[in-house]
Amino acid sequence: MAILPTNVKQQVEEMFSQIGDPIKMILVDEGGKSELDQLLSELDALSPKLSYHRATTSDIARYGLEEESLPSILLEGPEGLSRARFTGAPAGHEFGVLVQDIIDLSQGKIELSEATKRYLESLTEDVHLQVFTTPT
Amino acid sequence: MAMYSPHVVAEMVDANEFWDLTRKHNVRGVPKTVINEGRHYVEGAVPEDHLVKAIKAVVGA
Repeated sequence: MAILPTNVKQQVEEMFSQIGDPIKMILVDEGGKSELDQLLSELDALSPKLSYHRATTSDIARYGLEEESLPSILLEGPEGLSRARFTGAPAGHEFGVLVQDIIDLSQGKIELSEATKRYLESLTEDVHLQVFTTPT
Repeated sequence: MAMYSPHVVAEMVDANEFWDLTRKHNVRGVPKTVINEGRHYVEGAVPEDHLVKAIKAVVGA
């Protein structure tokens, strides 16, 4: 059975028509049957500019992940691996965030104020943001 | 921010699935943004400048 209802698929497919550069979605997990694997496969089918790769736990170092943070969804755009990622299922509101992230990354679109950009350019230390959410 | 700066990693965490992390960071309401493993945090969906202020409190202006 499909995870995404037909009407949602249609909406997402329409949004994905805005995809610029090709984007690769990467799922890092322990393998086996999983809803995330199915979700990403369904998304993959909605745009010829999307591709999907399922990685295994042996790849976690390569992707800068830790075993506690699996399953993880990563996106890879024209400039390499995105530093925005999803730990666990992008359910509820976060599903929309994933779809929008794919589009933004493919367009190189940054919606930040000039002041924020200037500040980010001045950063010399690493910043790790963990945004905790729940499906609603 | 993570798309703009090579110094920033942004991770969306499903609080229901990662109980250890949720407990560790005392997440009682969402969204909650934890900065650099708990050195600072922001509760709620806050404006961009509010989040920048919180980051500055951790790594400096």
